[in-house]
Amino acid sequence: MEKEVIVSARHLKKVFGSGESTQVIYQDFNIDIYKGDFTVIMGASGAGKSTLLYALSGMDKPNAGTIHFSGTEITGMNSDELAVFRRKNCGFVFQQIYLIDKMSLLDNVMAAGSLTCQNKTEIARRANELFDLVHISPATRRKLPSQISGGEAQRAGIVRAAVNSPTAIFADEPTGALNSHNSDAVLDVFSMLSATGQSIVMVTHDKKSALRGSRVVYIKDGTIYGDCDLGAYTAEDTERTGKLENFLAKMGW
Amino acid sequence: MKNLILHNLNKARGQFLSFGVVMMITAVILNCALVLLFQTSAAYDSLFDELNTADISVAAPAALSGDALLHDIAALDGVLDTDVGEALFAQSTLQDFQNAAFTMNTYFYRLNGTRKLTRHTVAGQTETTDEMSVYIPLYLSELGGYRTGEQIRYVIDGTEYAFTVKGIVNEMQYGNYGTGFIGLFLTDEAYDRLRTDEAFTPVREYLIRTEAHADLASVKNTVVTLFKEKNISALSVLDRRTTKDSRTMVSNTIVLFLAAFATLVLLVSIALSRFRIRNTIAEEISEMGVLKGIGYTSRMLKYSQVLPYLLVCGASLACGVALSYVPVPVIAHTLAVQSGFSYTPVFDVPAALITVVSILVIVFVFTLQASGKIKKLEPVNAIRGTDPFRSAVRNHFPLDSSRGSVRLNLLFKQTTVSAGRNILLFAVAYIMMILLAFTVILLYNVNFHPDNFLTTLSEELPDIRVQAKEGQYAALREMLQKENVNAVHYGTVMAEYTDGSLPAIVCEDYALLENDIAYSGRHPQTADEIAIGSALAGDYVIGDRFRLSLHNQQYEYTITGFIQSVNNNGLIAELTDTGYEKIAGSPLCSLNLYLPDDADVSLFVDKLNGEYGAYITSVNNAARESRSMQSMYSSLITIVAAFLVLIALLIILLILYCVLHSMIISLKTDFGIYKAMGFTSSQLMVQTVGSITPCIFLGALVSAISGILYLPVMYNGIFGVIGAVKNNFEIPLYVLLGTAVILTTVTIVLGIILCRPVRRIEAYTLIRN
Repeated sequence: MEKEVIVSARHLKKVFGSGESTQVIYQDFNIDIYKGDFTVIMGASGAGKSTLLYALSGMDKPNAGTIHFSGTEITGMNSDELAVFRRKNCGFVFQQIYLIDKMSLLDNVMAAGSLTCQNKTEIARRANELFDLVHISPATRRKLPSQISGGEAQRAGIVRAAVNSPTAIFADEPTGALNSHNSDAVLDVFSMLSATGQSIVMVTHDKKSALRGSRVVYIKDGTIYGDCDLGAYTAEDTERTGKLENFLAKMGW
Repeated sequence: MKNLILHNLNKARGQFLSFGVVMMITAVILNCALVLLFQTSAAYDSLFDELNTADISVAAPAALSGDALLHDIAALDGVLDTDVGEALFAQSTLQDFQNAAFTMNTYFYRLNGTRKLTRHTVAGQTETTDEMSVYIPLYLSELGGYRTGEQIRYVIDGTEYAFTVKGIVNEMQYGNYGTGFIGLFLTDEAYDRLRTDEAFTPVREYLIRTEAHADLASVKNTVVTLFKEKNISALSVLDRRTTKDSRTMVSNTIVLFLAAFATLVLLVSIALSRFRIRNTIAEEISEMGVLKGIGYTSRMLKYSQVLPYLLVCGASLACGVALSYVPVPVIAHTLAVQSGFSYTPVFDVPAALITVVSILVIVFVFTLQASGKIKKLEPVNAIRGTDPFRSAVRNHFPLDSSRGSVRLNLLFKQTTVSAGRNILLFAVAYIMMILLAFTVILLYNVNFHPDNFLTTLSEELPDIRVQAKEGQYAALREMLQKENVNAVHYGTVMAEYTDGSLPAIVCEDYALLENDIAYSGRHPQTADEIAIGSALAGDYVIGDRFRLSLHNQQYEYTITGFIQSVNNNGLIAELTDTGYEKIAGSPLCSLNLYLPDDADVSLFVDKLNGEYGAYITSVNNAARESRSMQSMYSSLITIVAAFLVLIALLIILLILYCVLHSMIISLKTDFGIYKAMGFTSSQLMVQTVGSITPCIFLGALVSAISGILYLPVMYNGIFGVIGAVKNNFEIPLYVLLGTAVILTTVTIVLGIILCRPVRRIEAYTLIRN
């Protein structure tokens, strides 16, 4: 069965700087993101992984090319139109987490939830369901970001990203600032969400994180250098590990 | 260090610019006040000395006094020199004074009279062949609008006298109406004609120069005692100090008002600078930690925060002082005219020094105190961004359980973030609301309830004043009653009391009047009772005896109350018509007429002149005069109000700019997160402005409600100086609340405009940073 494309980018170009200091991040870049996939974007530092992620999610604008998201072209939208678009379609998980430090975890999630639902009780119900799913206790939900561990904060970040049931969750190195234990907990949440059919696009340079994906896209020199279908993640599947290692070896990782 | 200061200045140049503008406004107002305070008084004294004005001056009817009295005065202790002059006295009703009639106690002098003490100078004159020519004080010329070459008309004892204004005079005794008397100077021809007119009382004026070290008050007492011993009722007794006080009273009040205004703006500026410094410390705690780590001392860091404020403050104050010389000549001229003379203010070094140094010192002390936290920052903790002064943050307004929508509670959450900011906004709103409430209530009373304003400034305001011909009073009154006109026997007469003379209102029944000017006790009801003006309130209490005389017939009345009178600076009395008969042989023949509400006053005036001409000496359209007065005050107050509102809005704009700019900087990351979630710029702008609105509204609301208490005090304080102790202003709460709502709305609109930089914050910037 052919997969449904949720994001389709064509002939993307992104440059930073101008004149002699111009740095071309990618040029004539094409990619499709499929519904239900856990797409992992990998590449060397400076390859433009995060830049691509934010362009695909409508957070940043490419210099040229088109992006169709759920059939809607988003490259021509202005900032506010993109913001409204992101509410329903994109959830974000950042490496630095970026929870609002003056609000409890629950409030951080409810603030995001209020953008698509006016019913406070309904938002709270959805938020609490997700908190239960990521194993954050009711007491912790009432705490401020400064009062919890990094792992808990990142899991709360994922809940915030998922609360509006977005078309896709975009995660930018979500375990980059976490220790091994907390990383596993966060990755488990992503796997859990992926298993429910949630589309996820994640940037990482961590092999262990990449293993959770169903598809790994490797970027090099501003183009897709390799694209590997890993299939659905299962904790016991050792074959996937070898497949990924072979793929990354080919990519020169 | 120098680089650090410049870096700090450059980093927040917009906010420093706002702070500078607020300081400049403060300097303009304060320097104006100080220049006026120093130079108006000095200019008055200088002119007083230049014209060799007497230290004490006593005027008494010529018939009662003579040259022997002058010798007796000269022999008194403390008297250095004496002089005597002649004048004519009359209670004169000046016509067309700003389109109204204004009754004043007037001395008419001979322009070419030879006096060595209390001289006068002619400031400007024109050629005229009119024998009845007069030289008027600057006060009348400027405020009454009488120009040289034009006619000035008086009604004295029922007869109209027209003079051509030949010139303007400077004279330091009766140059304005602050003393309750005004002096005019006639040409020889005019003086000689009036001298034989019975409407004018010839008076002698005894002029006294006291010895350098003599006590002015005790010499004055000795002179007054001498007059009493000689059984001479003085018309007026003036001394150098009280004359100056009364003539410069309005000017001093306005100087005080300006100084108070400057203080309020300064308070706001200080609160703003403290808020900014505390905010900067919170925002740049890591940067400061790094600087401490590489060797900058706390002292250096503190001064790097304080000195930019002092530099901006110093420069702004210097500009403010310079700029103040644009409005100062205009204000000085207006105030000096009120005081009855004119001068040109010059650059005032002490005023400039006080303005600059005092404000700089205040700003230095408060900003240094605000930056004291820097000393306690530990480099390691600061680098980590740990703020040791930040109290534990609480999750106020939890979004799932608080009442109201999530958006509303998000707004309230942002409100609770900074106590310092909230206090600043509350204070700004409270202070600005004081200014606006004062202005709006003044405008409300002048424009929508002019009677409140006019009855505060005037005595009785009938529709028409009528003077009956001798012997026709009773017949006239009877006929008026048939015309369905309410006629009340009411008039004013000059009478003498211990220290001079005063206008005494005579009325058959004060309960029939429309304007109750008694502010303490009650009006007289029997022949033995009297109410006296606020100017005498310090010397008497209710129940005291008060002696009044007229043409040497005197009577002691019992004081029943105190009354106000702006026109007479509080020097006035009230008698019943039967009480008046105790000192006068015949009753007054004047009436106040009150027409039905829908009646045409002008038509009735014409009717009186036509049908009742044989019974009437003079008819005065008092309603028209009231309207003219109201129109004059209305335009004047509207201009002042517009100026005050403009200043208030400018200050609000500048403070909002600083506060919102600080907020946008400190919330930049949060805004990035919100935008990533899907919040639009407009939502964030509304949320930001909405978060400051509760404090502004609360400040304005509390100020509006407490306005019920402080506004009467303010109005009484200001109008009390000119004799209006009892203020008839209505202070409706709904007007104050409406003003608070308007202030809040304007703040919201300005805030939304000032929040536009939120649009430039991109969610992606957050990640790239």
